Amino acid sequence: MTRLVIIGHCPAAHRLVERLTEQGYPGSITVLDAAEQNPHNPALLPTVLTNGLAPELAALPEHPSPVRVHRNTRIASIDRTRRRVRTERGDAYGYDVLVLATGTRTVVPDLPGVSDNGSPAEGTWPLRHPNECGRMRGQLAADASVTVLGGGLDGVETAHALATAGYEVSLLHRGARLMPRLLDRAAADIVAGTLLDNGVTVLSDETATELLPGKLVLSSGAAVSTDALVLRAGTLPDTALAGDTGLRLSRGVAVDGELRSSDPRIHALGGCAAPPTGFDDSLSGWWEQAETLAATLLWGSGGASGRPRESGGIVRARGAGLELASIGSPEVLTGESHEVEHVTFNDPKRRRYARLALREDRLVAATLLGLPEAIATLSQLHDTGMPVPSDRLATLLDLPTGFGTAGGVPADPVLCHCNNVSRSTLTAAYHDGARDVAALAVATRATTGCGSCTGAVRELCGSLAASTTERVPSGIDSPEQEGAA
Amino acid sequence: MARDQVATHCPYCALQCGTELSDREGAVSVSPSSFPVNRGGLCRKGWTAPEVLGSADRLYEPQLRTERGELAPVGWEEALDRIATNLEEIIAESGPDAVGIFGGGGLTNEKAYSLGKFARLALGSSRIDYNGRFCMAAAATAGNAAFGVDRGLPFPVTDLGDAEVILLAGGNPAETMPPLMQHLEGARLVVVDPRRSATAERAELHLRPRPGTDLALALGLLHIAVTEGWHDSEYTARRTTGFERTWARAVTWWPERVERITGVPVSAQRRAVRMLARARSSYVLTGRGAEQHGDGADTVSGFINLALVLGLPGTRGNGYGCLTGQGNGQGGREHGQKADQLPGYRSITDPAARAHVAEVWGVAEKTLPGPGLPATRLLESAGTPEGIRALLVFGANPVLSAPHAGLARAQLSRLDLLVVADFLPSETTRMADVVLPVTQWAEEEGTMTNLEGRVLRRRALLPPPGSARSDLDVLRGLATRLGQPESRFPTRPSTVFDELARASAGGPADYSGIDYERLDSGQALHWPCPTAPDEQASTPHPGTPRLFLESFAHPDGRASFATVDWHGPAEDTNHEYPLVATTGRISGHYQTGEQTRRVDELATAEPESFVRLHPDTAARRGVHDGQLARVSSARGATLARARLDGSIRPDTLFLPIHYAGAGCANLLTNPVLDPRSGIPEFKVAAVSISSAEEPSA
Repeated sequence: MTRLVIIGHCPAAHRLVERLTEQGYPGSITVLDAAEQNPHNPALLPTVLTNGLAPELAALPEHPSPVRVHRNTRIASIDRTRRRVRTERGDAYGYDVLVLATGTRTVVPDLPGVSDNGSPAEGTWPLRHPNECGRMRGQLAADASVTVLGGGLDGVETAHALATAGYEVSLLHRGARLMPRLLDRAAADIVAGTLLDNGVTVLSDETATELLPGKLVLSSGAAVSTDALVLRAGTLPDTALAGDTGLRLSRGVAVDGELRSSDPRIHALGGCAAPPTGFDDSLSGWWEQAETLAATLLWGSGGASGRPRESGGIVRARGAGLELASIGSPEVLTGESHEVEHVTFNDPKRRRYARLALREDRLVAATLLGLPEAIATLSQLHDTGMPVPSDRLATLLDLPTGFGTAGGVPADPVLCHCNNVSRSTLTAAYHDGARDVAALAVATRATTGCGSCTGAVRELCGSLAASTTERVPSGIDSPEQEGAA
Repeated sequence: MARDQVATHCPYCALQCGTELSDREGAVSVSPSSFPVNRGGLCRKGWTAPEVLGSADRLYEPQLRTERGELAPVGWEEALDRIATNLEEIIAESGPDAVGIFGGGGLTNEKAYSLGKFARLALGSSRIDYNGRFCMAAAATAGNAAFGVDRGLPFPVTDLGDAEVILLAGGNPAETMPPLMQHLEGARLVVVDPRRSATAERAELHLRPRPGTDLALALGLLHIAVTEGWHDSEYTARRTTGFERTWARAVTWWPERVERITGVPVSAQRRAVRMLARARSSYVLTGRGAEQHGDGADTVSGFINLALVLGLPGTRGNGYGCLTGQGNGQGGREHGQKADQLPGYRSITDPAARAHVAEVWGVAEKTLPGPGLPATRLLESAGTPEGIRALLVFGANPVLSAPHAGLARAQLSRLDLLVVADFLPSETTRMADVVLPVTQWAEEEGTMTNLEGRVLRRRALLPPPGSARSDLDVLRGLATRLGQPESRFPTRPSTVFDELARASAGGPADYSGIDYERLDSGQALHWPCPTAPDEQASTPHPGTPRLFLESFAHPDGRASFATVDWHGPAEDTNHEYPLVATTGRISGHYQTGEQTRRVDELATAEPESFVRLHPDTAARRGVHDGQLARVSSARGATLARARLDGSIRPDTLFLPIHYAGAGCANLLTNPVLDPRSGIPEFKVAAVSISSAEEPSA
């Protein structure tokens, strides 16, 4: 029986175990995790902080019993020749397949008041665990000042969530524009505007020098009122163990499209891994990695049918009101190629922006802001490889696509759809003596289905009554007087 | 029995609109009554229903297939003798389970009950099921699991009139049940449907998930309800069990993940939950769109979980309900024509239920067979070594209504004997060895149970035409030939009802306090309506318009969360079949259209099948508006006229289910079944589309 050992229990590892057990993995599964607590769903961290979600509700479910999970277990070494993992406590675990899922660690800037020998100092919050989020919520007044450090996606999401929850929020970042790796200038301006609308003070081209009680001092000399400093300046893949073991590293543990490291018996996934392009570096990207690795472990090399897309994944901001998505690789959006069709839409006033790159009607890349329906639609079109509807603007704005019925309203519209009664039928019945809605219902059945046409039928009665009274006494002004019948 | 005028109910859907039916010198006309469900409303199917009574090809005489292979008229005696002889031979050779019965959700309570009794006593067979398995079996399974009892709406329809917000998952009552809309017009509607249906047009919020992802959406809405703080934890602690296990699955359904799978924007998901949670009165309803999936029961459970987490079921002015489809879809599933059930909505595997019913039937408990096979499996088993060799069909047209219709035809053709009782020739009667002409709605007495669990009287205006007989007569005729005492199969509907009521006593669907006299006096009786504990009590039980206000029907009195997760439809789109076909209903037709396609007005308005598709999807495949198109799946192809619709999802095609021949939508559908309820996956099939017309020169 194959022995699968997983080091680390990051969300990707949790998902991997889940998919393996659901699909009947025939081997044994052992998880060795340094953390004390169950893994949690990182998507819920802001909710614990802002909505007061009980931290335990953010926990990911326990695995079914055949899976063994050892917590508080740090790894001392990996012996790749004898295929054995040794823990700091001295226990040894033999493996046939090893998966590294050691995740990431937060970068703590080496600044006075922020770093305490590399660990976050009092008042500084990495916000990596639900309990920590709960603690911060408990410590801060409802209108406390919170400064978020870092202008990438994480920083933007966190600042937005905190501001929505009522804190006084500043977002500090060193660059000229937010999310520079994903957004162009115009898009970044829209994001900054959205944050501003929500009460976030965005401080660009700024760095911090020191955290003092109640304020953060900036390199410009100015100070920002700060009761809590949230670190969102980035994370680093935790590759210490992989490095010690002699695996090839790039940004993280270097792996191929099947998450295989330079040692074919060792895989890596999640935040510690550096897969080729195609997996987005986000929770959903980690889940895709788990899906791919599960298929490979179950059915061998090539077992994963859903290959990572060549064009890259999707980065989607989380949080109510933060409608932001980056699809595919942003370079395509700015490149100039004859085969690529570019669509741009910029509406700073309503904080809406779209930039699409299409090839043969298929979406290659996109930046979408403030367009919630388009984000949903285009993400799916990207995932399924379906063509983007030809009415690009209708797609962006979620309008129904019109098509060649040039005529507009038909000559004799059906007023009652339930009973298929047209205006001419109703008019004829009116002239036959059915002069109100009730009488017309008896004569034609109109209004007796769902009843939604009652207003329209009443209106028709009114206009017929008006035209009849005008016509009969005066006799002028009625060039098309009907024949007596 | 015939009168000039009777108060009765429409023959079609589960609303069972009240009608006055009158006969003036042979011309039957109908008008809606003030019955609270329809309050004077009626849709065009209802208005034109009398035309079916005089249909030119009405079945008047029994027919027997001759040696030359044609159906020829015969007398009743000969037809019934022939059937009984064949059945006896087959049972002698292959055992009683070689004979199957396929019933219908349009049959009266009395017929449904007698059919179940006939199968278990006269045939001794476990092989009985009905077309309701194709319809709302998923909601029935999920409702039973959650509440301990399954009544489509556990409250009167009129309660919906006071609702502030209603979420309707996969239902289109504006077309399929127009008079119901009177009760929905006051509410702000959230409609879940992949296309902009007539009902979605009226919604304040329309969620448009990719077909087959409804459960992911339900999980996502539950996730938002909890994370945004709308979870009614006091209610779930006091009145439910299982929240923790359910949440352990829903915790990973964060809104952005749901958006990517369903295509429903995060902002719309949040808005839907907020609307429901903030309203003082809100309801969650499901229809076939949520139910007819390979994970149909789980999907309905997902929406029930959402209702539970918001504290809706069993509280006044709130709730969960299923919009039952067929006329007697509710009653039809309570009296024993389901493979796993005995009268009173009792489980056939429950020893106490078996003992009770056996006693009412006057037989030993051990003679009752066990559970049979769900409808699709029953049909599949035809002609196989362990399967059925004979099938008796009552009030159903499985050749058109079963998934992968091409297959159903092949399965029925493997039978040694196919008997079909119907009042009109259908695709299924045309395959039969024996056709038995039976009465229809305006020619018979009986009861129906509508979507709100209210028991209603169907009354006869006309005598049976030709030599047509009631199904009750047919069953007695066959039962006596198979050696049963005549008294065991009464033919008077009120006598059958009284026995049905006794058999149901003590079961979840308890009718024992109901009789024709009470119904005829106009009392509104919703089951359960038990006999008063003291027989001498002066006031009989008033029935139960609203269930669960005190407690749910599980032994612990609590509702049960179901632990569900989404894994996707059985069939994904691929290079060859890149689009998703979903099937549904339109306003002018009912079920397989056997009745409504015979009504001139309805047939003229919607004479042939059509396919709704996005103009871009059509343009790419050379399909033009109004032209005939061929839609193909891995199982077959159907012809339908293209109707371009700029509001439908570009990846989705919609086809109505009401047509026969080359226009039958079920030629495409996937016969995969929901493991919990046996409902087939009618709503998702991977397909392609192309023009079926020569390009014009």
